[in-house]
Amino acid sequence: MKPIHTMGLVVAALLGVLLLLPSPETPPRNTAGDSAPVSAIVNARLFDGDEVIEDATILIEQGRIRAAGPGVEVPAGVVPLDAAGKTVLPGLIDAHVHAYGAARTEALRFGVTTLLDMFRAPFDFDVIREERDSPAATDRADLYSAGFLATAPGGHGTQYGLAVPTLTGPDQAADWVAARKSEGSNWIKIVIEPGWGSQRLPTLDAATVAALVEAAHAEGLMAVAHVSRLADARMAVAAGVDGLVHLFGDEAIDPPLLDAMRAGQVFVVPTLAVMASIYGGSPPDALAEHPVLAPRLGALQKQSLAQRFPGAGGDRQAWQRVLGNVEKLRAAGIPLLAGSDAPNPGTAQGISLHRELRLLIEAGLDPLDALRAATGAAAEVFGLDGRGCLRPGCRADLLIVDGDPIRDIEALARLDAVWKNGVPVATDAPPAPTDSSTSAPLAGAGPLDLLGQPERWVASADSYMGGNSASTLASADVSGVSVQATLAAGAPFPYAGAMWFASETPMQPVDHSQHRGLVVDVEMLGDVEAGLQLMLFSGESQQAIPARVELAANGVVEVALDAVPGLDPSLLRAVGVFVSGTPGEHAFRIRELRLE
Amino acid sequence: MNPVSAPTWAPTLYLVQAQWLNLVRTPAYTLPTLLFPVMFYGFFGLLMIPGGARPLLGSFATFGVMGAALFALGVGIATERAQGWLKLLRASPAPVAAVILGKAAVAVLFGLVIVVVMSAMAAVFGELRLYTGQWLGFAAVMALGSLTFCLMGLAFGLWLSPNAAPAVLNLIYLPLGFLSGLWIPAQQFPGWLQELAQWLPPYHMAALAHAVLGVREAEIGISLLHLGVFSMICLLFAIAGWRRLDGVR
Repeated sequence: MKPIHTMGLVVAALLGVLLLLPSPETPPRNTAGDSAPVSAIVNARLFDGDEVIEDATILIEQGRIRAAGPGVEVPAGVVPLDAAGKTVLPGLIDAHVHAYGAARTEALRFGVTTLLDMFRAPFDFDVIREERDSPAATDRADLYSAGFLATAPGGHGTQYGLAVPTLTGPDQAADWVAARKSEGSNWIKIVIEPGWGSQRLPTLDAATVAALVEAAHAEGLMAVAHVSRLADARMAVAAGVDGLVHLFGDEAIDPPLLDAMRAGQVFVVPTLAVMASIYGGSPPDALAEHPVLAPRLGALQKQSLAQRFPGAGGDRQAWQRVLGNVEKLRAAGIPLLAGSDAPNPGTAQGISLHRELRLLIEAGLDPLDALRAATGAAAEVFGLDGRGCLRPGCRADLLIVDGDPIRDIEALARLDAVWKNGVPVATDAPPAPTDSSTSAPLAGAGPLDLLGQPERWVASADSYMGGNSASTLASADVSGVSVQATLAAGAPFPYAGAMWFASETPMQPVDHSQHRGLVVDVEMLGDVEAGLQLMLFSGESQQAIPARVELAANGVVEVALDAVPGLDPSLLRAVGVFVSGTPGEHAFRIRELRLE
Repeated sequence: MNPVSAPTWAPTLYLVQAQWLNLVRTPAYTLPTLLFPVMFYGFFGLLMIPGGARPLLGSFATFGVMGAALFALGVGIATERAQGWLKLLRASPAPVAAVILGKAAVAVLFGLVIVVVMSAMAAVFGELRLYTGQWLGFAAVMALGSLTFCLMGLAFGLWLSPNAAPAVLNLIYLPLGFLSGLWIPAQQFPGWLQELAQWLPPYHMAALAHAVLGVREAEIGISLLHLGVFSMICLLFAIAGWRRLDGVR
């Protein structure tokens, strides 16, 4: 064969491959149970995102609402779904999440059909926008996002291992906002966080915040702010932000700030679900045991729900101030939106929005306003076209619940069905993964002396999280591990000590489910007071916050593994022993550490 | 074959075919040139960066096509010029320009092989779905862009010595790719570097690719103008080099 023929064949083959490459599926005709292009729900109590309509009929076509209300005719040949005794509501909007991993599927199972993300990497925004715009059947909630957040170098938001573009002054604001807009951010999130407790963090100054807000508005984007103190909220409102995406509990909100917020038409996402976890002022989340909701929780959701913020809890006064501030905002007519801040410790996608609504009602909202905060009000504030409503033209994202959540918010959890784009979605949690990518090798039976593996021990400190503490292993052998630790302010919760890895590869999980307990004995060598902590790293994500156990020194302690919240012994990654608290030089010796 | 009685296009065709044989018989050149960008796309676009399958297809395909064109013309012409092969050809009825035409045709074709391999990877492993018109349009943008870099390679090939050519081209190829945002999106550069990127031809080729792939909108006219003007500048340098080549004779 002449070369020219070969070349012709290559061209033909290339063309052939290009013609065979797959195209997007054309949106399927939406059907709900039968083959009719139109679905109908009759005899429903309808909450349309704003008002309640009794005895309504809802017609759905091509993923959208065609008609909704009393006296709507069901077309001939369509078999309607009878919703007598049930309430139909728009799919819920969670106005503060961080959506990564399976977040969109996890949330959808609980009736949360739209997620407003307040910080994530923007690399897949083109796909996300496409999926959001498509009315085709899907098993994921729709996502809008701020993308990268605006923060100072080393400030809050930079500690998660994601390379966040930071800024240091007002002159960089316009470029920074333009870069976010070109990445596809739907709004701008600004972090104003000088640190918690005695901890100090670099943060943006008032001039930079004001410049960011101005730049965002010039680009036609909203600007929202993370704040955790009254003083910062005041600065944000003075800078002209459109909304605050946390509420604060350090002080009671005062009338001048309320006036300024009303004048600036500022909205607030109080994120009570995460505040309850931080301040520990509310009883632990009973929804995790709810007969309808519990089976929908995936493994990662259960884990994040069981986790606690390190060092958090016990500040009932701050929690009461948060609730009081919600009531003051409500009375002043400030728009309140429902957002959970999932999946932070103590919260999880989807289920925590149910808790958020209950907490908003506990704080004084009436149930109808709480439901608006998670539907129509959120859509209006964020300009989400066709979301949070069940009127003609709206997206057919809806919940069917048993009973009347407007009278009794607990009915909202009695989910009968969740529809996304006009099609019911599967709501059972997927079975725990069993494929080799997530199942860990099984550790040997019988007790395991962690001190017998000196090569698996490393010094470890909060410098990994951006803190300034440090530690060194003075010695590590079968008789014990000796640690010199220097605690220094820097990280939110300074710690320093030593860590044992479950596998030869650091942080690889090993299945230790046959072990029931951990026996530990640590001798404090210095004379400085310090807290002693066990940190147990486990679970499907390497980034998961470790379970922490306070430890008494100078004596054998037994820790029952099944009593440690948020610990998954079948995916154990590492065990650490750390001093925490008082800055200064510490020394300790691990005399015994055994899995049994 | 009797060159005297053959039709005038036959020698041209013959030289084009020779360039194809030249390519398929030097796997030591072909395989790395193919695998380098394909491997990077596999690592970054498909394995490491979530959501990278679509944007990085445009970036790394541009990178691969640019390399194939630059090296085929740049190093190829410089070497053959020094070997005296181009001079020898003058004794034959074949037009010397046919060597250049052949190299360019083969470089475009080879570039398309890279593009199609990456496209298939994106579809199979990255679950990328595009309408057939988009797949074809993407390949067309890459072929068109390849011609620009053929001209650039030609200009270098006619001016550089064969020893200098690979070194100089590498020195230009990698930084040019990086500064054009083929590795890290130019949108993540500091402001002044973004300014610079917008003056580089691969940036505009990738911008056109991204527009076809639906990654982000491009100012298509401006990008085409950039590539066109740059091609003209390269052509002028190539013509000057060609005249110089004549002078050597």
